[in-house]
Parts: sequence; structure tokens; C-alpha cells
Amino acid sequence: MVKQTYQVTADTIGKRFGNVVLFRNIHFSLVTGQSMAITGPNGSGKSTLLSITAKLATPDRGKVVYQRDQKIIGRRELFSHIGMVSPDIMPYRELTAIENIRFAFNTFTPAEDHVHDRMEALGLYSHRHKPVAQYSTGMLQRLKLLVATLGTPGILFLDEPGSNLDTTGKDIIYTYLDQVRPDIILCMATNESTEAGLCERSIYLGTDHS
Amino acid sequence: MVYTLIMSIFYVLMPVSIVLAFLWAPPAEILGETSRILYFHVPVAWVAVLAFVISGISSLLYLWDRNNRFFILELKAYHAARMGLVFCVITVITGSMWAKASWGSYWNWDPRQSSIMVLFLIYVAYFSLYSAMRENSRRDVLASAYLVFAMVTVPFLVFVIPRIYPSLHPDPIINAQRKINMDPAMQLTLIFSMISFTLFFLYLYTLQLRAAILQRRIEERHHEKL
Amino acid sequence: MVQTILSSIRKDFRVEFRGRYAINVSVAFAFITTLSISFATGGTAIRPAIQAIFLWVILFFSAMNSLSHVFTREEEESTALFLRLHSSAETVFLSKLLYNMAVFMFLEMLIVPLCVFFLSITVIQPVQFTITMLAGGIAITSATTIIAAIVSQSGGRGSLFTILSFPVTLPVLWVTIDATTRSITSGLIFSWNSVLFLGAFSMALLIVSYLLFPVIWDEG
Repeated sequence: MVKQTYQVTADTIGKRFGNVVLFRNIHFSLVTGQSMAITGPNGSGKSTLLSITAKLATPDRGKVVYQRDQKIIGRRELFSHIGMVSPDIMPYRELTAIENIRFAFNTFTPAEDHVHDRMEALGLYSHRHKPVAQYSTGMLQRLKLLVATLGTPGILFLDEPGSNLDTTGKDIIYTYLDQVRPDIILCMATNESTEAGLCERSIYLGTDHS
Repeated sequence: MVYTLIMSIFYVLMPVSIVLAFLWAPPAEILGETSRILYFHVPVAWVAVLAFVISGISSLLYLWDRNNRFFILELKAYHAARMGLVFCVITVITGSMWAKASWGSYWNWDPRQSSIMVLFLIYVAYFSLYSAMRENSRRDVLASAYLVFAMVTVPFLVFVIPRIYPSLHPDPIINAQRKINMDPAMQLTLIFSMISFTLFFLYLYTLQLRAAILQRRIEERHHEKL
Repeated sequence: MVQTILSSIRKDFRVEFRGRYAINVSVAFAFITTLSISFATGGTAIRPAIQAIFLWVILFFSAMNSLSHVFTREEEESTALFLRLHSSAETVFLSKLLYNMAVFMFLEMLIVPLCVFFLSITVIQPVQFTITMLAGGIAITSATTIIAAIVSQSGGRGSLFTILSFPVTLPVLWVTIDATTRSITSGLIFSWNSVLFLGAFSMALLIVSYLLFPVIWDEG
């Protein structure tokens, strides 16, 4: 596979809810191979900043620009280049894991073997024909990871990736991240120091309003 | 300044129109003295439609103008709709008073009554939507989209209802077949009144927009302090 | 494009069929209103014009339960972002529209026999009647699908959907009730203009919806 270079640039991002300013003047720029953790206390806007960076939410100020090999990626194309795991993104509960994957990747289907291998690795293979509603929270988290990474996205967003996972589950993710990190941009919102430690950089969303 | 100009002309014209409507214009032949409500009912209805068109066009521009080249379009749309709703209610009230006096009942599902009622319902729906989204950052986009969408259905209504229900409405102004069949004095009074009410609307509208802009500036100042 | 839309519709049907919440409510609502009207009128003959009004009012309010659900469910179950990440706005709009049309047709197939049975409607001109039902159904779904999207994005509930839909569907109801009356009354002439009107109305609203939908659906 030809390696592509992505770049994401966030310029003076600001967001408020009503009269409360969540954050302001956020700048960063990441290229393929780099990773960043967004940390901060609950309610500091970690998830919001992650959504804004993924262009799933609109900032009140500033903008986020994506480039691939120096060329700007339009909003429309963008979603085929990113993968995201977040408590706000749920697969269909009524569908089985396989049906969810088929729906999510109906335009380009990842090779059957590849899907099976990845399911096996995440311990989901034997549950592939169960409706997601019957999954435990840990299994659901693994499925979300599977869906987010199956298309080998160039940019990966993880919002609290380790939540609801046991140590084996966490180990699977961390090994996977170590493996793919050189080829992707990794952006993570987390409160766990182990996870934040996986990233080279971090942004702290604190209470200072300077 | 435009605002002061509108205001001063309005202050001169409005009393003139009122005097003309009550003292100078002759009463209509069959309708009698009740016909004097014409000089208020028709202009108010016209303003309601004008406000609706302004809010519709502002909404459309707001959705189309993603780079914010125009200023405060979302406020323009919202305040025009708000004024439109008020004038719409006045139209219905003055109209049904007149209807009671001349046709015998307040509401007859006359085509004009139906279309103003639909306009009223669209405004009510718009404000229901608007108030349901107090905390929603996408409020302006969604409310504008609704207004633009609803606006598309209005011509269909105007086109279709008269074919199903016959009209009782006197049609002295917009009339395809016949010419204007009004006494010249009545005509002049009506024109005066239309202009006065249009100015009245513009006066209130610009005043509200100025207040809205000030409020927004205060909010922004407040945020900068935080 | 066609393939992705089909797969999207299949997904919506699967999700709905396995839960069956929305459609059950609609069906129950249709039964209850038809029966209560039949019970209340208690065998007295109802004029065809009134029968047509009952038929469309029952249809409209039964459909209101299901038509908004196709979008509000995505928000309630937090699947909206999942859908947004994996499908284009156009695919989402067209699949939801077609899904809603199918649901409306299903409700018609249920409610029309119910009304024929309990309100003793006699269809005099079956072809005209069927075409009016189809055209009316298409017009109502064309008018309300985008409103369902607006309501789901606003975080509003079902009652807000009815309030927003009512002024927009009023022209459709006026015309279809008139046309339906003509097709179930002996001796009245059916006017094809009403079908033409419904077609033109649907077309205009579909075009506007298709253009507006990405603005409503895509954030950022």
C-alpha cells in the first residue's frame, strides 16, 4: 500500500455553550506519524474538541483543515479517511456485528478474510451473528474499534478508548495502536495516563481562562 | 440616516392616513361605514405578507451564504418573522370583525382567510421550532431551513384553494379581469394607508434590529471578558 | 449510488422490523381511531365527503407517528453519527424518503380496507381512487421527510413534528380529500387536475428538500 501523508491543522478553535466558554484559541497541527492526547477534567470539552477536529461539530470560532499529500480534503470526502470511536457513535443495536459492518462499508468492502482476522483478534468472531443489543459494554467497545479501524483510515480519533475494557481488551488496542501509529494521525481524548502516554503530545483543557 | 428618515416620514404620514380614512374617504356603497376598516385591514395584511417574504429571503440567503459575507441575516429573518406573526394576527382580527359585519360570521374559510391562516400556522410552527432549540447551536440553520421549505408550499396554496372554495372577498386591488373599481378618494386613502403601514413596519423592524445588534454586541463583549 | 441507497433502506427496514416500535404504534392508532369513529357514528350513514375527511385524517395522524421516527430513532439511539460517518447526505435523504413512502403505502393498505369495512365507504371509481391514494401518499411523504430531519436535529419530539408538518401538508389534504370524495361519490366527475397538482407539489418539494437536506444533516 502506498503510504499517504495527511495533515490536520486546527486554527484558533473556540467553543462555548450558552455563556460558558469551553475553550478558546486552540491551535495545533499534526501530520501522519504524530499523535496527540486531549486531557482535562470532566466537562472541560475534550469530546467536543475531538468532534470539532473530526468535523462532526461546528466550532464558534476558527476552523479545521485537512490535507492529503498537500491537497485539501473536502468535507464530503473526509469521512472516508477517518475512523472514530466515541460514546456518541453507536452501531445499530438491532443489527448483528456483520450486518453493521456490511452497512458501514457498503461502498468498498474490506476483504472477507481481513474482517474475520480482525474479528478473531478482538474476540468478536464467535458473536458475529448476535444483535449488538445483546453485547456486553466491553464487546460493544471492541466492535466500535473494529468498525473504526477496518477501513484502515489515515486519521484515527479515539474518545476514551479504554472505557469498559478489561486488561486483555486494552492490551489489544494498545498493541494495535503501536502497530499502526507510524502510518496514521492519532488523536485521543482521555483521562487515563497510560493512554495519554501513548501519544507524543498532549493538550490540557483546564480551568484557566487566560 | 435611513432610520431617522423612515421614522420622520412615518410620523407625518400615519396621522394623515388616519384622518383620511375616517373623515375624508366616502363610505362604500353597500358596506357602509364598516368599510373604513379596509384602510387598516388591507395594509396590515400586506405588511404580514411583506414580512413573510423578507424573512423567507433572509433565511434563504443565510443558508446560502456559508462564508458570512452578509451581516446578521439570521436576526433579520427571525425579527421579520416575529413582526409578521403580529401583523398576521391583526389581519385575522380586523378581517373577522369585518366578516362578521358584512357576511354574518367571523370565519367562513374564504380562500383569503385560508391562506392567511396557513401563513399564521407556518409562523407558529417556526416559533415552536425556534423555542424548542434554545440551547441548540444549530438553531438558526434549522429554523431558516424550515422557513425556506414552508415558503415553497405557499404558492401552491394560493393557486389551489380558490379552485376549491369560491371567494367572498372583495377584490378591488389585485384583480386580473376587471380594472380598479373604486372611488378615487377611497383609492388615494388606501394608497396613503399602505405607504404609512409599510413605513410603520420598516420603522419597528429597523428599531428591533438595532436592539438585537446591540444585544449581540453586549453578549460578545461579555464573552471576551470571560 | 443505487446500491448504497438500497442497502440503506434494507438497514432501516431491518432495524424497524426487529424493534417494530413505530409501526406498531401507527397500526394501533389507526385501529383505535377507525373503530372509535365507527362506534361513535353507530351505523348512521355518513356522507362520502365526511368519509373522505375521516379517511385522510386517520391516515395523516397514524403516519405522523412513523414518519418522524425514521430520523428521531437515529438520534435517540446515537446512531446518527455512525450514519453520518458512513453514508453521504444524499444517500441518507433518498433512502429515508423511500422508506417513508413504503411505510405510508403500507399504512394505506391497512387503513383503506379498515375504513371500507367500518365506515362503509363505497369506492365508485377504483382506478381514480387508487391513484389519488398513491399520489396523496407520495405528496405527504415528500413534504414531511425533511421536516422529520429538522425535528430530529432540533432535539424536538413527535408533537413538534406534527406542528411543523401541518401547514406544509395542508394543500395536499385539501386536494386529496376533494379528489377522494369525488371517487367515492356516485355521479361526481373526477378531475385529473388534482393528481397533476399533487405530482407538481411533490416534485417541487422533493427538489427543495434534496437541496436543503445536506445543510440540515451535515454539521461543521
